[in-house]
Amino acid sequence: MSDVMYAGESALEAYGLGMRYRRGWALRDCSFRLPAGRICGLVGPNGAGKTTLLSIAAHVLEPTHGSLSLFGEAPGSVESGRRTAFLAQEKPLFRRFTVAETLRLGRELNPGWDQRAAEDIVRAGNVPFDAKISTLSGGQRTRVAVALAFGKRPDLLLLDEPMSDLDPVVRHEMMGTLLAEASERGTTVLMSTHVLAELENVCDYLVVVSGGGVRLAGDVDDLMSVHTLVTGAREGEGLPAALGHHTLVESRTSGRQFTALIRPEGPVTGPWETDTPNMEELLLAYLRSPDAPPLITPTAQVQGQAFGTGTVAA
Amino acid sequence: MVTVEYRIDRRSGVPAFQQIVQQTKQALRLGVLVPGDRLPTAKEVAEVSTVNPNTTLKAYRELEREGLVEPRPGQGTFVRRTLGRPETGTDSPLYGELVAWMAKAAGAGLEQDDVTALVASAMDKQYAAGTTAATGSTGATTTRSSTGE
Amino acid sequence: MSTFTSTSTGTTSDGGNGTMSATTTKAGRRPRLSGMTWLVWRQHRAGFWAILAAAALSVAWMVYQRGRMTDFLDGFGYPAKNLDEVGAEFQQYHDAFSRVATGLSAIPILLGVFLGAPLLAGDLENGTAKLVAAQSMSRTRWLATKLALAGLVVVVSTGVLSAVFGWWWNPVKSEVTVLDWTSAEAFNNTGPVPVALTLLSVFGGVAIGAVLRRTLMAMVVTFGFTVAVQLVWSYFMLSLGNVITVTTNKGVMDENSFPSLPKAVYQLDESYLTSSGDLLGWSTCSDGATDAARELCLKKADVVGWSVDYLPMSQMNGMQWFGASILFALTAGVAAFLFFWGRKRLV
Repeated sequence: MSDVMYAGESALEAYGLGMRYRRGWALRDCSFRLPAGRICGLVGPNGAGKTTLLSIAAHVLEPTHGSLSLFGEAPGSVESGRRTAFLAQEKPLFRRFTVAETLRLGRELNPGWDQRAAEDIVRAGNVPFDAKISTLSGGQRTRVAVALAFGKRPDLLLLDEPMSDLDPVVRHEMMGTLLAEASERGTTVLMSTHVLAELENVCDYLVVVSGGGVRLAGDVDDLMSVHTLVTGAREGEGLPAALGHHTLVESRTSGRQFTALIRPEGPVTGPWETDTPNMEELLLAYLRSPDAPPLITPTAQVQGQAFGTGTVAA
Repeated sequence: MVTVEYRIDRRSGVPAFQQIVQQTKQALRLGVLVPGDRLPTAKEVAEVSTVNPNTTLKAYRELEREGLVEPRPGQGTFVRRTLGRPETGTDSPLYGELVAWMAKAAGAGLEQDDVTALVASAMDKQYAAGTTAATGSTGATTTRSSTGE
Repeated sequence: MSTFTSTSTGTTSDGGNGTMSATTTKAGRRPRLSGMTWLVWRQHRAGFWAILAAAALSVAWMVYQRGRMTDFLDGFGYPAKNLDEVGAEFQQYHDAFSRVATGLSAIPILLGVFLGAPLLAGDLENGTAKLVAAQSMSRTRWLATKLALAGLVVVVSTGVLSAVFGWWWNPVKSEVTVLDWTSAEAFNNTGPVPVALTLLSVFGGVAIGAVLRRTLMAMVVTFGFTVAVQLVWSYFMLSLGNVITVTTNKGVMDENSFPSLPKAVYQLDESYLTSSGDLLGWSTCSDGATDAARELCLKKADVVGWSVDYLPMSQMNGMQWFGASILFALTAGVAAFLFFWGRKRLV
């Protein structure tokens, strides 16, 4: 089972969170919990509500329904403002400022500012301090923006697709920096992305948002242990009858073979191969099957969350 | 100075923490890590191999449980004892015989895949009870790549 | 390795290679701004300096023009001699006023469009509003600092321009032929009026930019707004004063029957006054062939004298302050709107 190393404090809790626009719902009835200290991947197709969720947490948007709390406080409060850092998708920076002036922005506007830490992140990427932001490459700008976020010494770091428009080498570097800094300070990270391959081994917590709702939430270890990938000879369309009593996430047939991702309700016996899915397979299955019953592990449930949303026997 | 660099094969189906445990043991066997060496911190591993720090810590706890490493508070995680036997070093006579045999096989026209198949078959015969946890291919890759500076 | 070199005169942290010092690079020569004030000033400093520099240049120009004019007037012998006799020689000085006044009248529009409209719209459009909001200071504080600094620059520059223009006009203030005090050129560019007009235009532009969130669109709409302000102001300008009515009872035929008015008044209306207090247009009975015929006509109409409505120049100051206070009140309303509306939406 998961090795819960941290105190049970919640970094983020969402209660029936909803965001309604004239053209529809961006988020609808989302409830989940993110324990402190996790590196969490927020996954979902474009337009699923990832940016909306992060914006609400960052106090950029107000939800139309439900609420969200950060370390027990509302997103607009002074307390959560100090403990949270947000990096928006467009990674906004003042283009005419130099790197040094950008860091000064952080120093002037944040009481708990760690100038040294911010400088170290910038220096590690060989970014000159006196260069204007507009002359920097995408990767360098992301690095400065990340330095700005970490200089605030946040307890929760919200990142909206931080690796988009970065080339592979820079991506790897930035992810490494992110992980190193977060591990050093015990920062909780909530990072949205739609590049699944990057998450493997990086995230120890997952939240899948699809069609405005939470489909999957919990520690990676817990999630892996309750899913089984079953392959075998196909019996007509869909799942063979013998497997019918297990919870089905997704099943596919091709030729004479079927492949299914299930949440077993008991031993899986029969003439099939079973295996543990890797993270990408798990995520893809949930993203491809919006009608699958959602799974919110007990660690990821907020108080009072109904058991009917698909629990796992811990 | 980083003693060893872990290479995580994300596609192998083996959990990352287990790969770290295996690669550490491999390094110990080959003498790349000796008692007293400091293992890279979770932060260093995270930065270089983009692995979640908890994963590294989990691996180190497993190694500690097996008595191979010990954490020293404030200083890091250090190697406690070696897995290497004189016979397993690259300067041992067994290794020399292996190298000679390889040359012979290559001289006889065997390709690398043929050699792998022969070796695997011989290994299965010898260690029929099944001792290695890794699948054959993973073992090979970690041997090649777990040598650090 | 970093290529940043610190040129500060005093460092607080270690001066190791590549470490930024905690003090500003020009420590000791300039007052050190901190916090939100530093950010707003740094972001808009190009615009602020441009405005202050343009104001300084205009002041220099006006001082120069005044010098030329007073030299001429001294040579001419004014105010002992009447200015009506100067003729065409004075035209250039007269034109100088017109040209500068035209330039000054453009200031509320220019500042509204180029300072006010982009002040918040720029940040909202390119996302830097989110960057600032993600730091530890409240959005209200950001808004207040933006309005305060922009307002300060506006008040200082327009205030100085107004004072210097008034000082330039002062020697010939009572000469209606040079500059009529009720004209927009004089009324809108002296006293508190240019400050109030510009401040309202700029704050209005800020509000428009905050609502529209797009810089270019905000600039266009603000242009319309500032022009509208000017039009409305010019329409209501004269109603700010208390009209004085003076009546006579010496008939209207005589040359001396017209009441003597103070110098440089603005005449609004002149009418014939009947004994019952009614007013008749001054063209009444003007179609009589002879004086006698007209006198008879006037007697029949029971005209006893003149009734003249005017605004004396002594009211100018009062009118300007009255009008300016209305504009300031509107500006305060715009600011209040921004604070209440912007609390949730300035990001």
